[in-house]
Amino acid sequence: MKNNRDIFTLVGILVAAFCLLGLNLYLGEVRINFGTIVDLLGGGTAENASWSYTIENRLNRSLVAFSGGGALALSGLILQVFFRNPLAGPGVLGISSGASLGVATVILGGVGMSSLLGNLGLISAGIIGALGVLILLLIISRLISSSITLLVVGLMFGYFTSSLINVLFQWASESDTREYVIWGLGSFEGLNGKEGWFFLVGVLMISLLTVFLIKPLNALVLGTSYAGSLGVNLKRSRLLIIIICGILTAVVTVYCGPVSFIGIAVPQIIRFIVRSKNHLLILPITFLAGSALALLADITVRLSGNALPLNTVTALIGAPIIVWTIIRMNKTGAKV
Amino acid sequence: MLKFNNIEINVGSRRLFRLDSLELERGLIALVGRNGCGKSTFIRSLLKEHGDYKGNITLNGRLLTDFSKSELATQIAVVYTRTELFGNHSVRDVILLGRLPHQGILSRFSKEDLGSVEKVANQLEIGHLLDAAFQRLSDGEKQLVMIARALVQDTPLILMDEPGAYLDLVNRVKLVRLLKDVADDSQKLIIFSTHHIDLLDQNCDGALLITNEQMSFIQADLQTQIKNAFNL
Repeated sequence: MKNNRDIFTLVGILVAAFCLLGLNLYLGEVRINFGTIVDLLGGGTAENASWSYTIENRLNRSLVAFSGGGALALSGLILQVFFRNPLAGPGVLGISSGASLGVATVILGGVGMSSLLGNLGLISAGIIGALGVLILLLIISRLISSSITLLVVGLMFGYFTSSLINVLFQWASESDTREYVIWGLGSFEGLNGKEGWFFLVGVLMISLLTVFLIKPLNALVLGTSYAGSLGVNLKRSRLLIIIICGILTAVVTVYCGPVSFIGIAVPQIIRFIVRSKNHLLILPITFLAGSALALLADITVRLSGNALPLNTVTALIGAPIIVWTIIRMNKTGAKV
Repeated sequence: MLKFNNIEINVGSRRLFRLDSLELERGLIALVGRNGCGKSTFIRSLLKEHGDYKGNITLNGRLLTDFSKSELATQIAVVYTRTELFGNHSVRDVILLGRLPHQGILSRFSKEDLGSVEKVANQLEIGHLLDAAFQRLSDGEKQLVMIARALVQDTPLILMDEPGAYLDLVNRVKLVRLLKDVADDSQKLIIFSTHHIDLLDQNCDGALLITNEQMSFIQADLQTQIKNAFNL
């Protein structure tokens, strides 16, 4: 049911996300006051010319954290409802492993390959890997009905792809291997110029497609049979879910590495907090909460002087949330 | 309302049953037959989830195959044996899902939607449960909620696939009586599959009986006729 508390939650999380974004621009080794930051963002100049680079760098990684965190949380939510399992998520189901395999093939496939194909090749390889795993999961999900079993299959995909990546290591040069390992630790850094904005706009545009999933997701909580009887076109919704979750996960994974936990933990909390059962509200709140958590994680990474990898921070925040959910599931004896 | 013409329902190369010609108007109709005889497949055919049949089925004069999925959702509501809900929905949230086919792409509900939920809940005497968590209800209460959900869907036809299978003796009797009342009050056609034939004579307006790959419609002495058909 829609009520004022949910609107308050939406506004609260929106404000929190933007405050964290501002904070991520402000905090750092170089202290620049807020007035100057606003000037610089407005296209002005500062007394210290290097500051504009500092702010551009901070802005870029904030934009990437904002969109990347949102995208992961959003696809986690959709996958949890679709697979009817609170432990589903882009990471657990092996979708980001698929993307990793794609990326690894390009990075570790030799110098020739990564320079020849460039960024576009990297993204395409990631998307192909992620979609491949998703399609395999969907085929297998028709053969087995238990969603727990399906999660195990997803985990197996994860193990299988990481073994394949290990095989690729055998042929890779030392520098390629290092590049891949660093990528695997996860980071919102690395985009420059206008790339951050492109990233944001791209993620937002794909996320907007979830408008078509509002009714299907609302109905799918009762299972596919009931959803079908409520007029949901299951084939179309399934396809849309594959495309949206696959592309979002792949794009974020290619740029930021296989970022863990945001995709599972955030949807769990949001589905617990938000009273409305209409995904019209749940989807945007989940996106913004993912953005906020990713920004918080990025601030933590930067305050540690970039010593802590992103995936360490997200695991520190995310793992307790997931354990808490499992305990709560056992308590209520119900799927939550 | 629901008209069958020379139906032959198949699964792959196997024929389940035939139905020559029949028109059902309204009332409570039982669907009886042995395990695997095709009761569920019959229901799924009406929902366009099973397309492997010959002949014509029309709903209010229109071929079933001409209905889109979303149009069909305003004509036929369903209740299955068991409901696995994903989420911490209240009873009100679950019943409200019945209004989904009448909502736009943003799935926003109106005051009228909420009103019809309360009205139907009170009619089924589960008004006091509206704010309770669905997951914590007993199987009997859950099934009442799912029937309420089917009623607010506001369709002329309701199909139920063994709605009483998990209910205790008392709840099963209550359920069938309730279905009879609902069918009479709302002028709907309700078809439900069941194995409990002792309840049919007092409550049902007829039964669809599947024996020897043939579906027939019987209207009197249901229990005796069914027992005879199975040599019991």
